[in-house]
Amino acid sequence: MNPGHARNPRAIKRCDEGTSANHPGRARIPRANKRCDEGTSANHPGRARILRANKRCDEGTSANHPGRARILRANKRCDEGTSANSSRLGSTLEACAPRGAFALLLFLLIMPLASAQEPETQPDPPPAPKEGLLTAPVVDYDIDVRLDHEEKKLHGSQVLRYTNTSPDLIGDLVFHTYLNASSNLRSTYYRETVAMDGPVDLGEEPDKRFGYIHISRVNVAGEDLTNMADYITVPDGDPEDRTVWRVPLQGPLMPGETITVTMDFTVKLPYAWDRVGYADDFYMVVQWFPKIAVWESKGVRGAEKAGWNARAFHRFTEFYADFGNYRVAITAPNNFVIGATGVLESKQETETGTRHVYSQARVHDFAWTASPRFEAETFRFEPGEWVTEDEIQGIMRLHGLTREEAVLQPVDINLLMLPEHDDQTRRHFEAACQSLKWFGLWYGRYPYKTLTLVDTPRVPGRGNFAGGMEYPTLIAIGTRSWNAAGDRGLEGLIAHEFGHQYWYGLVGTNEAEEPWLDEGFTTYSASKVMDAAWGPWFPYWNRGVPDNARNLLLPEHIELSEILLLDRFDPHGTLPRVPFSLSEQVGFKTRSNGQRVIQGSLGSWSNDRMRQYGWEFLDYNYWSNSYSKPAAMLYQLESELGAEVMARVMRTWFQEQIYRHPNTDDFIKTVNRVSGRDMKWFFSELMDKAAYVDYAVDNVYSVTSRDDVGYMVGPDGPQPIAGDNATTTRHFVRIRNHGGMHYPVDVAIHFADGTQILERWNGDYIYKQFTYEDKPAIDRVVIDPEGKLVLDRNRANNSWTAEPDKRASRRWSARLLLGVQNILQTLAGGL
Amino acid sequence: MLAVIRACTEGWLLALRLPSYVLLKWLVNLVIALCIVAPLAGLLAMDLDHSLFSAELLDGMDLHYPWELADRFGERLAVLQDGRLWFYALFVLVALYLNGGILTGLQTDTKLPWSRFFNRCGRFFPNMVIMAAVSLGMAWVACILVLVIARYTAVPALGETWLFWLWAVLIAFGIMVLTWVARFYDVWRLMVTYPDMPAQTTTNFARAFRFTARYHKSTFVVWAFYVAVHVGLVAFYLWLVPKLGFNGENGLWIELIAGQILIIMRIFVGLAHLGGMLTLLRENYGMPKPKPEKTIEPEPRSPDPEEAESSGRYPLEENGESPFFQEHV
Repeated sequence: MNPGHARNPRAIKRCDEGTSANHPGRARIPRANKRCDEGTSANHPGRARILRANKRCDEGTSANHPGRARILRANKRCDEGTSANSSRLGSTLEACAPRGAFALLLFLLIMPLASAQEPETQPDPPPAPKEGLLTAPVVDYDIDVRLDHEEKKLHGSQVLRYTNTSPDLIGDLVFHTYLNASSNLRSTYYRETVAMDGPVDLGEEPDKRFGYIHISRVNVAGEDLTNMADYITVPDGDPEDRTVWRVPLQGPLMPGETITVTMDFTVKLPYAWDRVGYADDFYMVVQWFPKIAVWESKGVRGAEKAGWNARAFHRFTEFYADFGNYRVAITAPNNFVIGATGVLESKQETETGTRHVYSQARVHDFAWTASPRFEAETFRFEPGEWVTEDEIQGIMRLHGLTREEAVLQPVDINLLMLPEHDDQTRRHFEAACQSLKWFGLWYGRYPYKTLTLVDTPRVPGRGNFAGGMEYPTLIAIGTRSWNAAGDRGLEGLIAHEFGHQYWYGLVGTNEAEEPWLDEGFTTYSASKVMDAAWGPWFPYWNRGVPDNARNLLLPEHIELSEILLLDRFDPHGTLPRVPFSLSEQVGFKTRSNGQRVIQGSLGSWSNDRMRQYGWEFLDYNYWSNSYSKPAAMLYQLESELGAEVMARVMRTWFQEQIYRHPNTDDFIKTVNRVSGRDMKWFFSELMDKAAYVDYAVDNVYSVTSRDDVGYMVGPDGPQPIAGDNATTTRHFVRIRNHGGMHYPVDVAIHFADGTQILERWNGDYIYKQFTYEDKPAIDRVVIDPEGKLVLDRNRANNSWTAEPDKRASRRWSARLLLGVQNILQTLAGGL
Repeated sequence: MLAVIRACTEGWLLALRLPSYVLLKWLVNLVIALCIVAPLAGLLAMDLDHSLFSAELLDGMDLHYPWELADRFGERLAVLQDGRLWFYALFVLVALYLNGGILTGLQTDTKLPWSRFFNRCGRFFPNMVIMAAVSLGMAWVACILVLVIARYTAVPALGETWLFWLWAVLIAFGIMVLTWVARFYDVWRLMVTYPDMPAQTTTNFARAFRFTARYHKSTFVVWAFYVAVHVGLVAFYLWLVPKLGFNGENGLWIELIAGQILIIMRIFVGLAHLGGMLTLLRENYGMPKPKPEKTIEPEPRSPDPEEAESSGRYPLEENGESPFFQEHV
């Protein structure tokens, strides 16, 4: 529906009781913004560049695989149309008959629909895929879309075969129309944006900023229901939001039945919007088609009632959809290079442009990109060249796997590169290979045949609007010119976005409702990949410059080092840099990928309850509580369980939940089962509290006093205490819990005679006092002597020594004094 | 050219005559800095002295430690921050106050008695405040110019190398404008405090403006020379101190003393800088006049008397202005 023809807002139906979001406070509204990268392909004949067979992929950077030959094979052209994963998925679940009958009765009572036409079932279900899904496939899309480059529009039609795999009767279909969030300033997205950032700067051509999706026709099971469909308001959305669209059915969709829905739609792409849109001749086409929401039965992911999980499109939240098959035909001008989710099956020139047909099974979204400027290259990830035998054996031993289970499979990495960044091609390929290797070894092999990386452009005023985002088999990156090899920001970004292939792409968590499950897991995993592949990472100092200060001088998408040509003059990154993460000096283990694992998670301002819906966070604490704090929590879990147990937990989580929609409770169950320990306390402390960990030695002191005076009251009455004026010395150690999180901690008390007492405190309350008698003076107190408490925000206050060491405070006070003196002298204007 | 060379050398000699002023400025600087730093030093001592972490911090400051400290002691630090701002403001006012006496002393051959020194400080204080404010405003405008150039031309400049160099030239031009303001401020201050001259801020504004515009190359060279010395001095300090590897308690004190020497040297270089500018002003008095056909004013009657030349004091015209400014500014 064109926003201009929006129906009377008052007529907007609220989510029917049976349909949407009936978990109190758990409105199901999806958001669709992540970047998927889908093995796209680079099909511009004249541009595919072949990397010679003898080119090494990484020049001694990566490391842990000494003899690994990184050879860029004479690469396959992306458009060779490789495999044919076009098989449709159409299995059904067994219906729960008694419950189904009851639901049917209920449905008839509450749905006063005149026509009781039976939904059409799929007469000829497509054959099962070669590698079957662990859960039954739910959706099967056939989409045909044409890009109108002049108008910046898409004209599409789609056939959706939707299978009811639940035991419920379904009375309507609910779709996401995410692009309508960009249609006006009354959408939930823009309402939140204005609340966070103030008025929206629409620029000189406001109309360019707005986009929309208009569904002009919908036919369900042969019945034209266009006039019955309408946008609905979901509990977490704004009344005038148009991002959730509902089609009532003429009759219930029975368990196990498949229904066919055909639609025509038009999309106006916005200019450089949030992850989607166009800029000049670059297109990032994501969340662009009417995507059906996820039906959740009672009990699924904690739902109290069955219903559609459909959320409005919010400023920060992302997406949630069902797994299935996609076959998409994209027609674009002949000179455009296309990249998309899945495998290119065919490419054919037509009157309206070149038609590219892509298909992919077992994914829950489809994204594509187009630009005539892309230079397409392909590199095949051959596991034998990247993974050593020792590494395979190690994984087999750790997880008790057979060789067949442990080995990885080849993957075609398609890279769509902007010509100005072609010097960074090898870095992209190497980062992707390292990610494929380590994720594959640790959690399980990447199951798709392609992975596509898109180099997204930077747009004045909008930055890298499309980059740093994941979609199934396709990731949008976006690098910058003169990017020093020693600065691993690019590799960190690729590892992170690739990580989402696992945590979101394959383990289909609900990003909108539990953002930590994808972002936190990805931050943690990518950080470990960076450590394994490249070791500690220290970027240029400019990353430490506060954004506001930097933005005063430069547009937000330009790095200071970039403008100072640091990367050009120092291509290997040998200039001094400032550690980005907390260094070893503070006692925190340095994380390597610059995702602020520790730094972002430890500020008191950011320590919110982690398990919240994405839209309930304020803007800054969404990032810290979805990315860094959860990642730090997983590091803490690793410290608690041990590295090997944690490795088994993560692998089990992936293997058991691939192609499923698990939630936080599922993860906790996995942890408990694999570790053999009840770790509920751990998650309830770290995840459900707006607190942080900071233990401190509050005070250490001794009191010497007489205690041989007064009366001792006993059975014989009070008796004077006889004494010889002797004194007793008691030593007190007071520990303070600054952060409010109750996390068990060890406290080592060392005495002057060399003896030591190890105490344990569970962190309850604010203070804990230990008292000692008949002991020599306390020499030092150390909280968490083994350094297990990764989450402790400040280790400087974790210890106390009887003998003060004033050197550091004096030195830094002196340096502070000199700094202030120099500032004053500068303020004096040279005199 | 010779005038420029003399300005670059004689500034030092002028400054060397005034060690007491240098020490006075250093003392003021030290006392106010101590007032600012003392509470923070106490906080550091409280936090670190009994911590095992202290030893780890001795030789290298983790940048996140102060961040963490600020987060923990936020409220206390906010109070200190407010106090610090007052001290910074106080220092600026004291420095402006002393400028009048120091500049007068710089332009006077004989040593000023302290009573006259402070008399001049008080007399010129309003002028100094006004000049500082106006110059700051001009510098702000120049900064905006540089920022605008940097910000709005950076994106296309990244595309091509030649565009980058064009961008660099634009930035250099902006910085040149900024330095021009600094030079103008120096000249203006010297003119206002010039002995036997009326201390008219507005009249001298125009004169200083004209002088800086006319002799922009000379003033730039002199200005750049002293700034280079200044930067070199700081760079030398930063290079030297880590090399010396000050360790232990004694090392700390040596480092502190070295830092104080740096401050004193910075003040001295600043004084020499103004001495150089003063020399340039005086040198230009004796420079050739504009060509006759372009001169609309009569030729100067004669050089000033030798004693005036040597003392830097010039006879006033009937209108009360010095021929120095009439003819060469």
